[in-house]
Amino acid sequence: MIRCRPGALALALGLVACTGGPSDGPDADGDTSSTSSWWRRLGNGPAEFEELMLSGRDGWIAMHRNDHRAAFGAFGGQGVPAVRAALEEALLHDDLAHLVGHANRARYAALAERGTELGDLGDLFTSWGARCAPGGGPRPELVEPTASWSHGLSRGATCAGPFGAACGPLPGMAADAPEPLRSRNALHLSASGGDAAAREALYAAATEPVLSETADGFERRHMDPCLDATLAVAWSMQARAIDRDAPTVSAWVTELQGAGLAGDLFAPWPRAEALTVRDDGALWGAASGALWVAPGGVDLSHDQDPQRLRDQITAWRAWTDEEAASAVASAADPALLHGLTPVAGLRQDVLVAAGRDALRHDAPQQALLLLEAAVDVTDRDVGAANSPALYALLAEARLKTGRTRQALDALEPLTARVPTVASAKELVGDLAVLESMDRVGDSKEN
Amino acid sequence: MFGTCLAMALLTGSVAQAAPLRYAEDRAPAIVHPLYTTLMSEARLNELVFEGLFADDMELRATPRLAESFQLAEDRLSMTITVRGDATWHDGQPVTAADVVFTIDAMKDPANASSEVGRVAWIASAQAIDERTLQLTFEGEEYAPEDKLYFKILPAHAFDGGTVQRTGTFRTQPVGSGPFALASFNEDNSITLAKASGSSAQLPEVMMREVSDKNYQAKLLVYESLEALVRVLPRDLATLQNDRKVELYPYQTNSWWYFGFHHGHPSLKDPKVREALTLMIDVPSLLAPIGTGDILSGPYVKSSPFYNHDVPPSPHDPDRAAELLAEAGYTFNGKQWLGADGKALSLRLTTASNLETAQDVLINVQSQLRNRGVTVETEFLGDAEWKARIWRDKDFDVVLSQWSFDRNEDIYDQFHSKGPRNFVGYGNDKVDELLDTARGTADPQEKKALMRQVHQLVHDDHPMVFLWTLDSYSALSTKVKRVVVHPFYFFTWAEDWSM
Repeated sequence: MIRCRPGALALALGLVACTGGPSDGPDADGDTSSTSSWWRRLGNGPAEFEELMLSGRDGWIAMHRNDHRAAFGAFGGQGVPAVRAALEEALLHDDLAHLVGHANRARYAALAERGTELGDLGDLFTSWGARCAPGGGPRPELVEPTASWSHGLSRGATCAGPFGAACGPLPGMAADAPEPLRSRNALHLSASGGDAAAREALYAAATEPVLSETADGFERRHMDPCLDATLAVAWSMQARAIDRDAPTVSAWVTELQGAGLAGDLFAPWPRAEALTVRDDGALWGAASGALWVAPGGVDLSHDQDPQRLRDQITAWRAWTDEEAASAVASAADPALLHGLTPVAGLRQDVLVAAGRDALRHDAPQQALLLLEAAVDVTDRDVGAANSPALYALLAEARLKTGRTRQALDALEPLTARVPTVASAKELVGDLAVLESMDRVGDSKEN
Repeated sequence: MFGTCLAMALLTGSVAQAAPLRYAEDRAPAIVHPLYTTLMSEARLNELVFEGLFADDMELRATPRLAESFQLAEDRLSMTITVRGDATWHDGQPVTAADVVFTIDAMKDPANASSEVGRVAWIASAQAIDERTLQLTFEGEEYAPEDKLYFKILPAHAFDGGTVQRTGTFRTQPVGSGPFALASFNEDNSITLAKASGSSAQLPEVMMREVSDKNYQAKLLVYESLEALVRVLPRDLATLQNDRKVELYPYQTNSWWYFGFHHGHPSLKDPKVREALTLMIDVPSLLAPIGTGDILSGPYVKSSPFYNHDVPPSPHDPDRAAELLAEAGYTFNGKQWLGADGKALSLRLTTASNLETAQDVLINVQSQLRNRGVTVETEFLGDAEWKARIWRDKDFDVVLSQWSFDRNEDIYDQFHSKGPRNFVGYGNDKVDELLDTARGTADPQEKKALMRQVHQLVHDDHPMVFLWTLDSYSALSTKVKRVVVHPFYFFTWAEDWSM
């Protein structure tokens, strides 16, 4: 039996996967759903997997480790696997851009409430961050930098991502802006336009401030607040550059459906044939794919009572336990499934997709439940067990539920993998300090 | 089937009796007294038994608890607070403004030696205006004083308005105004709390169970003999994560372990000796048997905005340690380090008997130091003895312990020369100045810069061997519904929990 329950969450995502459960037999029209899922195909016919490995082993290893930037390079920037990697990287930076935008807005509000000023440059960087934030930053009129050359700052006009990625920043910075701002702005513009060298230059510069100034005996560091917004655009531009025939999610899904295992391996859907397009413009639908509309009536949508959602998460975990065991039991090559733990990855990817959906629909408490449940606590580093997008979204959920200090805990594992997180950490760190400024600390022994 | 169940219920007398929520602590708190709370286990109990004027709501914003309303003066130098009219103590008496004034005065009175004195240092005076209204006057301007009014309020009538003592009867017979009242200290060292009259708590009873063998706690949860573990051993995380009857919650992530040197000790007052001992210790090998965590170089966890990432953790460098001891006037006789007086360098290593897995760490470090020629004895103290020996009498050489911080990560109490938690006796004028300046700044970037300097200085002074922070989770049975765990106090929202 095919179960397809596109609730609010599923509708909001670009795609919906319809499938049956592990205990379901083939249904009337021959759809074997989970029995034809990519992880079952791995276990039952490793030949297809071996063929993929021969054509791009390093890339798939990187994909398994959730290192999509490395995977893109290893795939040589070509073909469906490279597009998938580029879209995942675009989505990661889009997630981080949401986080940075929210932190920038909250920091500005907290500073304004206290009457604390960070100087003209501080205002400029706040304004800059406001203008590149997806989903809207602080109202621009709140922060108007004073320098004449900065009056032209405006939100990027070229929101050119093929699947509706964040708009690029700052085409309006005047030509007489001082260095190094002018050069940095030029890099942003080039990267947003698809220049891979400029994109890599932004990564290389990401851990250091654009500008530092000495103020009251300490160094005030002005980090680039638009790195992630630009990189989201840059990577989606990259995806489009590879695959000019797939400017919409629908076209992209068609490509996936014709790509065999390369379109499915490590994806958060059972098989591309089961995908149905719901939103033809959503980057996140294109990259992270469908919400797994799970069998047994499991519903991870954001518009429900938190306790019911928690129960649904428990049910989802139980289903994946059963599915993992069933897949291994029926596999011709169980060792491959033991090694790759594909269903554990699926479990997390689906929770991450649902958490992202909750955040984008202003349900941060539900997002927090979903994303905390997605973490593999036995290995908190970013890697095969925990994706960078998980931590980026978890940080955003914590930030939006008042757990600003705990948002920094979520960002810390990203440090070694994602250079742009340095900027996010400075902003969120500022906010955490501001929020505790009127408090008396409490400490105890254990 | 129904008949069998009914018969069983009659035999056990449990008809319609809701089960308690049972949670495990490594060791039962000896006292329940907010003025003398030094341990997290005590703070967790306080959260159930007592109330403050304000507490965190679920988005960690100050929300009134015993307070009904407040008004901050225009000059920000005082505030007027109205206490809720329906708030009562567990003995039925009303909570009054006089109780709040009494609590603040008791915390500030040096004669009471409250370990919480730092939490009211910003209040110059407190005065009751009438039964429900009081006025607080501040030492300086305050922007959001409600954020500082989380400390628990005591009933003045329980003390006859007089002196508060750590050893008084209140510590075992507390009267609070929180959602649960203390029902009994039990023979097995468990503590039973019952839902207080008028409380909106959903749970009828909460039981703190002492489970001193940390290795046993996870099993009890899995076998449903407990509903909650406040801190899971890192090595149990995999088991509990895979148990579908258990949920894990990140908890108390701002915690770090340390060896603290007594700066009054004749050998340890020399920074070269402290550094030498630091370099003798192989920290990664101490951490490995416990589980996963981050090794630290200073008094913050790595995700802290104050952590100075330019300061690396101290290396394991026995050769340099030997050079430092020689520079400090010690000689090595092939077996032991001897001081100028010919006596062996000898230290007592002390830890609390309830600190998870601390015994293993202590024994391992004893072995490491002995192998390098330092004579070491170990001792393990219960809570009461720890408070007396370490906090009050400063009777120790080296302690192994763990600090947990709330979101403020305020290390003033531990590292300022006047800090009430600075029992190691550390003092550095520059650190004092930086900590004082940091308290006065409203600029977050300046504060971060100041605290990162403190990190560097404290690292260089070696008042402690900074060890690690562990991956920190609590675990609750899925039978417990509507759980939201406070990141520091754990039980702040336990009124909503149900089973």
